[in-house]
Amino acid sequence: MTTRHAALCLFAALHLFVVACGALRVAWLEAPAGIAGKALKAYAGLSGADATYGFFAPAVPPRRRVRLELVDADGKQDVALLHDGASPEARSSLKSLLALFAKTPAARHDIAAYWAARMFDEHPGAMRVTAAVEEMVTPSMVSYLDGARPSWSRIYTETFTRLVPRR
Amino acid sequence: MIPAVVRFVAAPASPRPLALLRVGIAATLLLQAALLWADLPSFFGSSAVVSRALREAIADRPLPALELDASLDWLARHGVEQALALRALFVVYAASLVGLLLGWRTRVMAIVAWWLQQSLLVWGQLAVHGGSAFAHIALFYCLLLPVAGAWSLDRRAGRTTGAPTALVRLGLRAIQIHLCVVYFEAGAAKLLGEQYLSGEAAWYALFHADWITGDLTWLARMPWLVAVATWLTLIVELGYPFMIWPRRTRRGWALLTIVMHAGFAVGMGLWVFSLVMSTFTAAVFLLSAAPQDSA
Repeated sequence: MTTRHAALCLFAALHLFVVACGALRVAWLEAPAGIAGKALKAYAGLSGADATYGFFAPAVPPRRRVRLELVDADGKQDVALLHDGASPEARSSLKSLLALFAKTPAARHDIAAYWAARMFDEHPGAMRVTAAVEEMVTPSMVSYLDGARPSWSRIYTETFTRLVPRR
Repeated sequence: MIPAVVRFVAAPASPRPLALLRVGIAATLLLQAALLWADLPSFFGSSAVVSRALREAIADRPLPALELDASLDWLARHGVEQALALRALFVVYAASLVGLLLGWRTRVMAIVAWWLQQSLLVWGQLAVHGGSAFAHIALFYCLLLPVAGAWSLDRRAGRTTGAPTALVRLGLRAIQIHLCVVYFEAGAAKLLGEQYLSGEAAWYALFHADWITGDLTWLARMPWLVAVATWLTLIVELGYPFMIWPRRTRRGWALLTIVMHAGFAVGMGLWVFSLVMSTFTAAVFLLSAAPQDSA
């Protein structure tokens, strides 16, 4: 083995070490200290070595959707579902965003406010928008055979009011 | 012992497995790009489902200088409209994938594809899922390793020899061990869940996928079939690092893994993820890397 190849083996070993740290969710990779730690984190991000692989674990996440309820000045109600793209790929992305929404309460208000602002923009007559994120409650197989069916449960709801009527 | 270790990481290997990885990943990402073309406005600009500020807040970017939004800002300062700039970047991304697929100026194409895939699809939140994450990993391997040694225009033009090399072997070993970590961790994480232990996870997965056209609820009458599908997933993932190495079980386990991914694709609509993962396993464990099999 040449010296160059030995050096490449060392690099490969370091790469796989970072991969293993990512898979094991090692804390220092999340919040590295020092220049070396930060360089390692940057490398992990750029190479994808920081990925975790527990997809659909420990449980299959529920299906989620965004429901936007609009009320105009006369009290007339309308409902819109957030446009999530035509392709399954784009829909997958919205699923990821909603998973993040479910996991990070701190970001929920900002995301909901952005959706509401979009609705106010697209529907000039709307005076009030309620943004709701819903999760599908899936019955077990036994319950399904007994007649239970999937239903939607709200995990978040917030109402926004237009402050200045649109001219 | 030491000679065996040296052989393991340095015995010259045919470039064909890495070439298959290159071709498979590029073809899959081109398909994904075609699917996403119509959805670009849904993820960028004033009508996006997620604002730029939120995109910046939630994406974990290792190097801010490589941000997509920074690139769009730069283009805007030079008078290029955002929607047009985005379409143009997407076309460049697709063109780099075509270059990678054909093996033309392969390393440059791999670098461009790697950066734009990460910028548009992951940091840009356009396609954030396991398929994109693994495609990013594959593109990183494509930019580091000699993936143009077979079935490439670079080979035809004489820019690469296609001879078996120790670097190909080392690259294959790194990817093989990486895959073992991936599958074992995926299986171990599932072991913690009640849905997997009870054998019902496949049932819940059916309802997670909203694009399935057929009604599969008849499976409720066959819980044993749901349990088999659930436990088979666990067995394939947890057994991967142990069964994929022995010569006697390698082919069977690799095929079983690909069948599992085909199930994910059909049953849950995870086409890109399944194609990427199947390409990985087929390239580094199914295709022979013996030097005499070089193209």
